Amino acid sequence: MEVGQSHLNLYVVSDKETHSPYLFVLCMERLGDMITQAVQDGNWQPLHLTKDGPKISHLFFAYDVMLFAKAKPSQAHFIANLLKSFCSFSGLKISLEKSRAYVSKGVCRGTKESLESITEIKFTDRLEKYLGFKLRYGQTKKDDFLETYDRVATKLASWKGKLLNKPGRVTMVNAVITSLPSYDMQIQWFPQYVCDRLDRTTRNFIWQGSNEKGMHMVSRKKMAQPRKMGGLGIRTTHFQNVALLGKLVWSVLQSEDKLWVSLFTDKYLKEGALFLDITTNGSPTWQAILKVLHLLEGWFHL
Amino acid sequence: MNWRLQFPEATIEHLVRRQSDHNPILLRYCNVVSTRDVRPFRFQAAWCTHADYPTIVKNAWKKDQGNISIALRNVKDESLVFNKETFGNIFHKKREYEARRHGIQRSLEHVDSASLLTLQRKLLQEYENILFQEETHWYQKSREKWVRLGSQNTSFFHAQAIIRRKRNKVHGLTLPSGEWCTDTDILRQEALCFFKGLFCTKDVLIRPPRMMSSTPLNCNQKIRLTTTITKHEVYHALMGMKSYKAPGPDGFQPIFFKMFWEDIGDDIWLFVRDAFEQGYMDPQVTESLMVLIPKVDNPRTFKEFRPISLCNVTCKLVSKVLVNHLRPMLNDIVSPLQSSFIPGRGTIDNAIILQEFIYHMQKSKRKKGDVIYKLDLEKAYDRVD
Repeated sequence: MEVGQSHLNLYVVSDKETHSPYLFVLCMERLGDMITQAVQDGNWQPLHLTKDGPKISHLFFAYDVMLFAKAKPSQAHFIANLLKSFCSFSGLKISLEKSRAYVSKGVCRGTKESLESITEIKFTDRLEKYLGFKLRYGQTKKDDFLETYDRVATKLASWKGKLLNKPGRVTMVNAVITSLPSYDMQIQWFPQYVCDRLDRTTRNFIWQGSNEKGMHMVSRKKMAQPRKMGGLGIRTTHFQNVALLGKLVWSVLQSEDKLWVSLFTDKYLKEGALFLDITTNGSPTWQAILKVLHLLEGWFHL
Repeated sequence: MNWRLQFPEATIEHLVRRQSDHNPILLRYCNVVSTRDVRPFRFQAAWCTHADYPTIVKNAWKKDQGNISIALRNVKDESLVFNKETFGNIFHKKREYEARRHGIQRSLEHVDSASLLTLQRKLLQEYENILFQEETHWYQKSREKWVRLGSQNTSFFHAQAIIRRKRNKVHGLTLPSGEWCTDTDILRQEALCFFKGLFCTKDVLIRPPRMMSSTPLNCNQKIRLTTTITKHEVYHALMGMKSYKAPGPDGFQPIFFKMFWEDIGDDIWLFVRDAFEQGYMDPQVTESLMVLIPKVDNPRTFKEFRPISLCNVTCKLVSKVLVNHLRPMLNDIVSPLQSSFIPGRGTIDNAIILQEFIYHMQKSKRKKGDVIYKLDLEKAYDRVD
């Protein structure tokens, strides 16, 4: 062992295999098996959206664990015990202070308090983020996109923008700015005013840089054309959004084995196919899919 | 930049202010606690450019048949001797060649001689070789990924290596008791203490009850899992590794195994195959080196480091082959409710489902409601037993 050298090294003799993520996945699968077993025995009551739709008891993504159950004291007892036994033989630890619980709106305060005392997990009004996606509650509001603007604005305001010339700024826009919101775009519809605002900031950045002067010499339509056709290949936010959401439409049509697709077909497509008259109200994701569907309708050959 | 190259060891400490409203700054520009420990052995990529080195490796490897860790140790010993006696110090050699070339050019100004000209040409060639060796040396140390080797970026690599060295050095840390400590011996003990606490589980693990997995493997997959490992598989796994990744305790980077695959490949293959068939590996091979990666810019406590283990290449090969075997089956083994690290499944799948349930729960006004728990696993990757 050496301290104060280039590294702080420790020789550890261990007979363990290297920690590959796959081993972690298989270890978590153990917890999944326990839950599935409990569901089969009837000890765990999973959630479902419709009466005989697919039942969801848990969702894992690496270290992100989501558990779904009925808000009953007996269920909470069962879950607490199950987690305890899993921790005891897997060696993983659950930090209860950082864990959160979310209940549906109708549940009264008394039930909430009794649940909290059993599991020692605090309740929250809204789960803010999951896997980097912002979760939506109710109607889409203007404020929901403030974070997206902020992220783009901070990237533009960094010192690099001042030193770049025009081609440099175009590259930065193409490589960095237009790809920043694309993660959220995968499952979320961006209203036209949001797209316009994002496009405006990038255009101003190209022409003006950081000082607020400069004329826009070329029309934006021309700039948005691919390079082969004489444009600059700058992506239009709206079309990017449509393209990414189009992937969801494709999944609904093509890969029925995906869990979320079966969930959606069960809830919204009970009778009839995607292109017939279907209910327009639904979750934000479903509405986004429908909007894109209308735009893409002409290109589908059925 | 120039300043950092001239004083690679300099550090700054902010002291507590007394009367003035300025904080005094303590600047140490030569560090007292310099190399006291013996530096562990590291394979140098520059050795491969020497013509004699391959034969030395081959002979050392052949000395003890069969056992990988002993063979590697032989190579290591031979390499150290080779480094001292044949290879020499690149920087000294470079200076020497420069002086000789200078002398020849001087005398060429006065007399024209064919022998001197050929000598100069030969010297130039060797000089180029040394330059390349120097570049390789610093390239290996700089761990830079985006600049390629081979266009004489020596000074750039050198600067990177110096900065890295500075950034990775631990000058002092706040102990759990709250004291600021710069003494190496105390730091050593504290580090050992801290990570023992982290990795050793105090409570005795209970054997999990045996349970049938909900999705058992079918016959075909079972056969595929139990077939013997081919040499090609091992080779494929090795070539999938990055050549200049940080080495384990034995000091050999993947580049060594790639360079001398023809000589040592068979033994490596046998080793991996045996590991699979017997389910046992030499504990010497599985030894790993723990390195602390700072999570923030200037770490002050042990908690601000992320410990990673550097394993030997041989050990990594075994797990890599295992993973390659498992990967095509993961989609069947792992239930659809888990979607990390599996081809074809992504974050959106989970996020859509969760969003759907939240929308559903927001609307429901029934008293008998549903609940979602978001659990936080502590130090998830460090702790799987």
